[in-house]
Amino acid sequence: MRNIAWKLIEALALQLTPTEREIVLGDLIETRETAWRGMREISGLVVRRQLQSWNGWGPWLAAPGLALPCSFMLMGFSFAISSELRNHFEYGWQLSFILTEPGKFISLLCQVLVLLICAWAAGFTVESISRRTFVVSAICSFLPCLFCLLRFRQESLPRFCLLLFLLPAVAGVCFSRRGGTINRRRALALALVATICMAVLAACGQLRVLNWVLIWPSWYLAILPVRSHGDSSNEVTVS
Amino acid sequence: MLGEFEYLLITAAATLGENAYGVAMREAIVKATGRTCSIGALYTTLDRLEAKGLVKTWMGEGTPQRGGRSKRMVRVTPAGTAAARSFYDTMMRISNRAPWAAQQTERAE
Repeated sequence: MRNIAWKLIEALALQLTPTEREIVLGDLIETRETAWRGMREISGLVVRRQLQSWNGWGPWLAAPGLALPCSFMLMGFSFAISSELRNHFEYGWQLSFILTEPGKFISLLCQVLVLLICAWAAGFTVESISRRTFVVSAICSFLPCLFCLLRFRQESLPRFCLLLFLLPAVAGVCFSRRGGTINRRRALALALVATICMAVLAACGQLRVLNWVLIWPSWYLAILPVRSHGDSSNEVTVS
Repeated sequence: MLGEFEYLLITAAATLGENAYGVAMREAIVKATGRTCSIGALYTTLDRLEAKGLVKTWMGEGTPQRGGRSKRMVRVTPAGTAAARSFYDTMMRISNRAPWAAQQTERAE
């Protein structure tokens, strides 16, 4: 097989697990398939594997059930936080509002905590329950961003303020991808903090009912770990 | 009950014995059926059969013909043999009075 064609085949085979890649590329070398046929064979297997991974509930829950709605709601939080920060810090660091308007400060603090915890937990959960279909989940997350960025008309704020949530979300994804672990107690503490902050925001009238959806990834991590090592371990590992 | 392709795979693996692996099984199926057998169909079906406990697969050693890459070796389990036998018996019973089977018997006689 020609070199370029073989490189293409190897690139396609990256979608397979290392073991399967080894077996399939070995089969193609042994049968001396033509480049075109080799690409067709590998693509066929990749497509079948992708379709297989949609058989379970995980990818469906992660892509349309979590990534899509959470992106919309977290963009709302990002925008609200950016607006608040602009109001208080537009003309320098005006920290006096912490004492003069404690209600506003608490509300801002709660919004920031909700954004950090919920975005991180959502990123972690999406990556861990749909590892093989993560690209689709990422697309489901970026589509609402694109939609809102294109329709953004607020002149006093930069367009990218909508994407504040992406930093903790990407951190959650990276943490999960590295096989990171989260102690069950910490997961529970995070979920509790997020819930309390949401309750405070709801009491202040700054929360829509739908936004409560955002806390389920945190509770998911606290209650239903994807995979745990050890029989009585309270360490949750997602791999 | 097994599907047609599942039966073909188990039969090919059983016939090849110790030498049953992806490429050899594909060749056996192509030779017997005259139809192509894609790598995708082969390995996804093998996964399914292994999940059902009908075959066992493991990584074999690499050979120079494969650029040193490993093979996926296949062995039919007793459950796989029983399932294939049951499929074969069923096919024989239901085909017994079929016109094409009768013609074949006459030709043989």
